[in-house]
Amino acid sequence: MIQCLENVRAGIVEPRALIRAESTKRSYNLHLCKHRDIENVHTAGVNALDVDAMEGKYLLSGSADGSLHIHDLHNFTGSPHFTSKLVCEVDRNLQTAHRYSVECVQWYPFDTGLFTTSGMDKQLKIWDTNCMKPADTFSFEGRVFQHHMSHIATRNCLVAVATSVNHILLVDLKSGSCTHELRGHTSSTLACRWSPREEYLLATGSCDNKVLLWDVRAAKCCLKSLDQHNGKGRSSSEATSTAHDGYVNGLCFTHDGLFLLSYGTDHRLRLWNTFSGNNEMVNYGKIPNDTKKCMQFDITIKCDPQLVYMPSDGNILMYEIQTGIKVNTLLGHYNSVNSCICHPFYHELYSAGNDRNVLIWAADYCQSTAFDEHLESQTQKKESSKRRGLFVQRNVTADTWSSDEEC
Amino acid sequence: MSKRPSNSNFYGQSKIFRASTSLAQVKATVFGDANNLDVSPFTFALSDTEAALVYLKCKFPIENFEGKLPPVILVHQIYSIIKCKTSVDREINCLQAKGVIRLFKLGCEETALVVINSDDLVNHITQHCPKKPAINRFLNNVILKVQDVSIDKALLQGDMGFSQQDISDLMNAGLLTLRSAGSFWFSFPNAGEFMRSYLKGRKSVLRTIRKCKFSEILQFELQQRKLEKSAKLGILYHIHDIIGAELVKCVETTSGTLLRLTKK
Repeated sequence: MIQCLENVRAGIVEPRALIRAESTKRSYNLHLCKHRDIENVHTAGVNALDVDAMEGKYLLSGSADGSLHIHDLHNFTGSPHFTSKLVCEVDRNLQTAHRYSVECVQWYPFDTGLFTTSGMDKQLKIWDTNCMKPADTFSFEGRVFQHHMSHIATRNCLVAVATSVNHILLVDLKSGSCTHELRGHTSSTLACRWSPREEYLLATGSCDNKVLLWDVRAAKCCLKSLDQHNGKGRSSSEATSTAHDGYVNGLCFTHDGLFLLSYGTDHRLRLWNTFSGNNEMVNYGKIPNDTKKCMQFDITIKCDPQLVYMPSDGNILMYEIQTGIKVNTLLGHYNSVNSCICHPFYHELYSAGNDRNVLIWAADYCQSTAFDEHLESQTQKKESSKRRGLFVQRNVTADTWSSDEEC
Repeated sequence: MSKRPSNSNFYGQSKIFRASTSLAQVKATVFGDANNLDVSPFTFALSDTEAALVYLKCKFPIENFEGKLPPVILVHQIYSIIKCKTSVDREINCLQAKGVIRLFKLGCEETALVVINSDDLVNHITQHCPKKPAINRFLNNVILKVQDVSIDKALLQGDMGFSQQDISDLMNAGLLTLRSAGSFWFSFPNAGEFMRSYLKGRKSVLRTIRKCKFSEILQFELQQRKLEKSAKLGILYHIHDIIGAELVKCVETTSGTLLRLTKK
C-alpha cells in the first residue's frame, strides 16, 4: 500500500485505484470485530437493520416483538475498544409501537429526522425521530413483508410496500395515501426494491416464483418478468416464465444499478442484467435458504470484484458477484441470520439474527495490534509506579555525601 | 478456522503466471486425442473444461456395463475439478452449441444433466436401436440440428415430418421420453440402467460416510473401501459426483482430503 501511495503522489496511479484496492482488500478480509460491539438491548430476535445513508452514524434495528432501537455508531471515546450505545428506543408495550413483529425498517434517505417501519400487524408507520412517535400510519389488507423508499427520488416520495396480497402498493408520503396498486403477481409479494439508477424502476419478487420489473409511470402492466432460462429450454405448454423454482425471498440491485441479484427458496442466487432482463447465468452453487419471509442482503461498495454477503442459516457467505466463486464463510451467529447490511462509508458488515445479536464484521488488522500495544503500555506504567512504593531500592554505589541533583 | 483470502494481490504486487503456448502444446500431447484438437491453429489446446471431461471419461468403467452404455458424465462432476462454476457452465454451453457434446436431462433431480460425446452417442444409437428408417432420419436430422435438451411435438411433426407411428417407434427405442402434453425430452437407450446404478451407488457411498464417526472420512480411505456389487460405476466416479453436488464438504487436512457430509 505504501508503494501505491507513492505512485499516487507521482501521478502514476489514479487515486480511485487506491480507494478501490484498499476497499477490496478490506471487504475480502472481514472477521468478527473484537474491539467494537453493539450494546445488547434487544429482547427478541432482530429482523431488520438500516444504517442512515447521510452520515453513517445511526443504526436502526427492528425486532420480532415490535420494538425498535437506535444505536450510535460513531466512536468519540478515544480508544478503539468501544460499545455502540443505545440512543433511543421504542418499547413494545407502547401504545404506538407495532403490535407484532417488525419486518422491515428504513431511514428516510435524505436525513435522519424520519424513518419508516412496517410489520406483521399490517401497518406501515412513519416515525418522527426526535419525538419517537409515529407521524402517520398506513393500514393494509395484508401483512407487510418489505417496504422500500428510493434513495435517488427527488420528484416523488413513494414508498413501495410488498404485502401478502397479490399487488404492490405505492404510498405517497406527501399526500398521505396509497396512490398506486401494481397488479401483476398471482401470489403474495415478498420483496421490493427501487433501482439506484432510475428513480421510477421497481423490482418485485413474490411467492409465485416471479420477479417483475415495473416502471411506475406507465399505465399498463409490468415491464418484464425475468426468466431464468432466457427463453430457451421451455416446453410450449408452459407459458409462464419464472425467475426461480421457489419463492423469491430477497432482491438487491448493485450500486450502479446495472445488475439485480435475486435470492430464492430454491436455494439459488441469480444475477440479472437490469436493462435486458437476461439471466447472466452465473452459478453460485447451492445456498441453503429455508425462510419463508424476506431476507435482506447487501453488496460491497467501491470494491472491484464486487462481493455479496448472503445470510444463509446461521452463516454469512461471501460470493464474488460476476464469477460466482465463494470467497469465505463468516461464522458467528448462534441462530439464523435475518439481515446483513454494509456500512455506506466504511467496509464493515452489520448482521442481525434470531439470537438477538447484532454483530459487526470488520477488517481491522492494524487496530488490534495498536490496541494491544496501548494496553501493554498502560499496564507497564501501572506496574512501574507500584514497584516504587513497595520496595526500597538499594543502590550499592550510593554514598552519603554526594547528591543526586546535578551541580 | 476457515482460510482467509490472501492479501497479496490487491495492489497488483504478485505476478500472475499466464499459460504460454508451450504449456498448451504439452497439454495437447498428454491428452493427444485427435478428435479433441480444434481446427484453428491458434487454439489447438484443450480448455480446462474439455480436459476435465476427457479425464472423467477415462474414469467411467465401460467394461462393467459390457458395452451397453457409452461414457456418461454428469455436469456437476466437473465442478469438483474446476472451482469456478460459471466458467464451466459457459464452456459447456459453448461445446453444446458446437455440437461436440450432448446434454440430457434426467428426471431424478432438478439440475442433473448428463453429458455424452456426440460421436459416442451416434455409435451407441446405431449399435443398440433397431434399424428403422425413422430412427435413421432422426439420427441425421434431429440430433445434428437440435442442440436442446427437449423438443416440441409440433416441431417433430411439422418441420421434420415424423408421423405418430414414427414417434412411437422412437419412444420404444428409448430416444424420446414424454415430458408434457406437447413436448419430449431427448434420451438414449439403456438410460434407465445407468440411472439405476448411479442412484444405488450414490446412496451406498453416502451411507458409508454417514456410518463413520462424525460423518466424515478421508478420501483415500473411502477409495479403499469396497462398494456393493449393484454399484457398478466405481467409487471414484461417485466421489466426484458427491463433491460436485455439494453433498459433502472437502476439508484439506495434513493427512489428505477429508470428506464431511453437509447437514442436509
